[in-house]
Amino acid sequence: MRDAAEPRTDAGDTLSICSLRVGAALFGIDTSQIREVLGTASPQRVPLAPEYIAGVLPYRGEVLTTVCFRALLGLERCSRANCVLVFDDEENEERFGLMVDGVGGVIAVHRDALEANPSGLDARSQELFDGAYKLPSGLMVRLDPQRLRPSRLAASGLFGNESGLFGGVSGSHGRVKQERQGEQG
Amino acid sequence: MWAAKASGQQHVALPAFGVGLKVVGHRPDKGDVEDLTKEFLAESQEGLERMELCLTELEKRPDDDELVAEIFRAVHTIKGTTGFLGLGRVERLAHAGESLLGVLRDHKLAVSTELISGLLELLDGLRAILQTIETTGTEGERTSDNDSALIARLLELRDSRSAAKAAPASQDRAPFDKLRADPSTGPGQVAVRPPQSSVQDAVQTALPAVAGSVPVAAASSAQDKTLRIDVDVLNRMMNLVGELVLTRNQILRSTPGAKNFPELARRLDSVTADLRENVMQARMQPVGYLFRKFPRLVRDLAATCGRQVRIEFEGQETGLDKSLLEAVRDPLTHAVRNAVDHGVEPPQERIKAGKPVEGVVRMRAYHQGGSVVLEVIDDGAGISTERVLAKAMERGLVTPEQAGSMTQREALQLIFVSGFSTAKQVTSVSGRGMGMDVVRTNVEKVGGSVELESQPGSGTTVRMRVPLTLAIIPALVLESGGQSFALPQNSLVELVYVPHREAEQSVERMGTTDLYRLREGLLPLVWLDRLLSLEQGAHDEAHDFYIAVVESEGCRFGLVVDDLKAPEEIVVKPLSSQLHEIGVFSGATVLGNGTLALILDVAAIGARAGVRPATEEIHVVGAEQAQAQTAQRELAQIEMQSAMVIYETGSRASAEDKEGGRMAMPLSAVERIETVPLREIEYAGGRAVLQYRGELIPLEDDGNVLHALAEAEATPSAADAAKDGQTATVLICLRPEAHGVRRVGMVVRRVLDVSAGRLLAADAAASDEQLAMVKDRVTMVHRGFAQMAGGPQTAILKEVA
Repeated sequence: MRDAAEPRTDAGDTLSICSLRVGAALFGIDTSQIREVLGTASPQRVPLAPEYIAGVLPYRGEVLTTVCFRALLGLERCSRANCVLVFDDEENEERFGLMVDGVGGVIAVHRDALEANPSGLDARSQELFDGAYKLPSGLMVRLDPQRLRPSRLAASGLFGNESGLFGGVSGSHGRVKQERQGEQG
Repeated sequence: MWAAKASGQQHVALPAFGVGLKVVGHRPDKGDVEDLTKEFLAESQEGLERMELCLTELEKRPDDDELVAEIFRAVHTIKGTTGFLGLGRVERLAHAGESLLGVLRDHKLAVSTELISGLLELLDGLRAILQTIETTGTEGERTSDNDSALIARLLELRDSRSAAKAAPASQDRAPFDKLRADPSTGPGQVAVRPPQSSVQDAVQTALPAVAGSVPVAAASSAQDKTLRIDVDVLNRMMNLVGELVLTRNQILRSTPGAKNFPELARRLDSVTADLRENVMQARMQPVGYLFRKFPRLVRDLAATCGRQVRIEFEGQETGLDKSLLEAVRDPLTHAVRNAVDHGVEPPQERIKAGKPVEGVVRMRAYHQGGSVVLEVIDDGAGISTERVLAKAMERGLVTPEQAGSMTQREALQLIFVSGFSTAKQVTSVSGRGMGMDVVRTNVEKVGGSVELESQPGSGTTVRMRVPLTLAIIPALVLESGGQSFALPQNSLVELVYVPHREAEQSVERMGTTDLYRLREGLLPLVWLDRLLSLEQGAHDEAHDFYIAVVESEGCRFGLVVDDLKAPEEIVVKPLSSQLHEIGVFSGATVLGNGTLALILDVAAIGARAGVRPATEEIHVVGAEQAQAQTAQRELAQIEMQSAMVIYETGSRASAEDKEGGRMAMPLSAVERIETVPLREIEYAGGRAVLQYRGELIPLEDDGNVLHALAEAEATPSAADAAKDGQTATVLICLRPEAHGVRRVGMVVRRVLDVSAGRLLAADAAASDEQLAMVKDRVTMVHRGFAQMAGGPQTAILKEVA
């Protein structure tokens, strides 16, 4: 599992991208940005935390805050144990995990294959996505872990920071879902 | 081996956990020079600190060559390294200092106040440059004017040797003018300003940044990120880590079903425990490191305030966790400032009061129970309760009626209220009304407490009590809404189980608040699952539950949880700032079963649930509610109630006494209740003794319980019944004696209960018998222990005295 975390110097124009599956969509993250891929783990939920916080995990003697990517996309939260990717943020010293449905293989893509986010994208997707790679099998949405940092998600104010106490989460959660569906349809 | 080195030098500088290591690890590319600079900074800061200490010491003992040599070494080391690193500015300054110190070392110059001041200026100058290097990475602008002014002053001091040598030894602060007037004044001299103002001027004009930033900067400089560790400790740690690796290897090769698995698990357990203890030990730093900067602080403050103050230390070797050491740094500084500025009187007043002209500020540190006590004691004017109350009324903190009914102790607590200051005028040192409340907040932040004691006319004591370590705390694991949480034991008062059939009736409502009748009082309830919006499960109907009665910041409330699990020693891990902001959790911990549990912040939960201090107990208004209540409660405990252990001694005081000698003992005196097999009790010189935790403690057996037990054991039938032989119940007690406390064992027949009791006024006729009202019955208190009933405080005072 850990070999995915090894930083890889880009030889020329190809990048190695780790593919992730969330719901029906395919996402990719540059392998050099991933610290470690944990197998299945079930984080402990934190009451009153924003909906997109999947919970906390013990990780190397630390408590790792984990972001639920499904919740960010407005999908139903996954209750069972899932794959967690660990990211490091050197400057802000903020280490966090990202929970996805599954981790696929590592794909080599050409640097030029990246398309910027289309202008019609809604604000939340604009915030989360970092363009897309055109693969023969379909689009792979590129993610930038730095944009998925819990502190940044909170600062953006787009993902329902209201704590569960006021019942605000379910409302905004539903709204995200609707918008997503609208966009897809 | 490293250990073979001289014992005094067995230290290595190691970055403190986390911070230092990370910084180094993150910038490997910048190369060795940066590492060297970092090392140089930490080393130099330490050197300067030592130098500062030696300088203030030198003023007292001007003939001590050792001190001069130490100072010389510090400056010399800095000079040597800077040349190597190409830090020209530091080098020039250090060189000037070194040449002055060289003269001093060769006894060509006598120690004078002027000289010390000059050297302190040099120290500040060097420190300022080091600071610049640390923050910017360079030596900063070549403000050569400042440097050259300082260098000129140092040279001038050096060349003044003939004059200084001829002058009388200036242990006392002889005015420099006298010195100037000396006819043997050497050539090449320039007029010099009087000593005190020169320090101030030079510091404030030439080095404005330093004067203001020294106390602040001290908290963040490189030395705080490094830790000195005894090489022996480090070696032991390494050994343990090696052991840990070996055990892991064996476990990896083994399977849970294997024969040796339990043994491996045990070994792992013991290695981990040892390692933990070792690391904790390594983190323990003598308080002396913290005390180092105070002589200088007091010297400068005394000069500014026009006082004569001497500082004394006690218990410098007392160990305290590194992180806590940092946490009490500012509170201690505040307390010392207060002691010098407000505590010690000006010389004239002291003479009038018949005290020695020189005031004394004493800092002591000692261990007590699970905490470290730090005291700042001055022999000044003390705090006038009238003035405190007058001020409090003027500020609208209390009403005149309330003030009238306050005890001295309560009144003193008002000083900790935000915005309170009794200084007649605001000085640059203190008196902005933000001293003591800052002290209190900071100390409470790390789980400590502050007390104030004052005798008008003879001085004030500020006593801070901080826990030994923050990293590991005892906690109770509980369950609510299907999730585990950890509740720190220090806020837990008691646990109440409410069975299924009583659940409905026992909870009463008043407005929106749920209340529970706990003995005579009403306890507001907070449902943890509702507060945290957890799933409350399918049980809408009443079910049994537990109430954890908790107390924090003067609020007492019942936290309702579904289930209690084991008490556990938990390792506190910080949460990410995001989750910390929720405010209800103070951290997280990994439980024995490998899952995470969030640690509840009782004060925050109380605040969130809107629990306020019980209103009927409060006579003061506003922010001081909490303290007033705490003070009152403490008072109430001392005067009225204290927890008592009730037990049977087995002897009958009289024929009417059917219960076999019901006695009480203050709970605070009882350390543990042990069940001891009879055969472990030994006899020495006809007295029963017990080996207890490597200590031999005498046993007291008033009711001849041991004899009865021995007889029972001798009887064959009884011996058959109890396979392991008879056991005796022993209360391990701390008995106050003339010189501290002594551990004794009380053999009792059985322990009946623990309950709140009230000491009755001592009967003059039976002076050796103290009676108490426990559970509405008059009970005899075990002799010699009645004084412990005043809470642990009484015992402390004894121990201190």
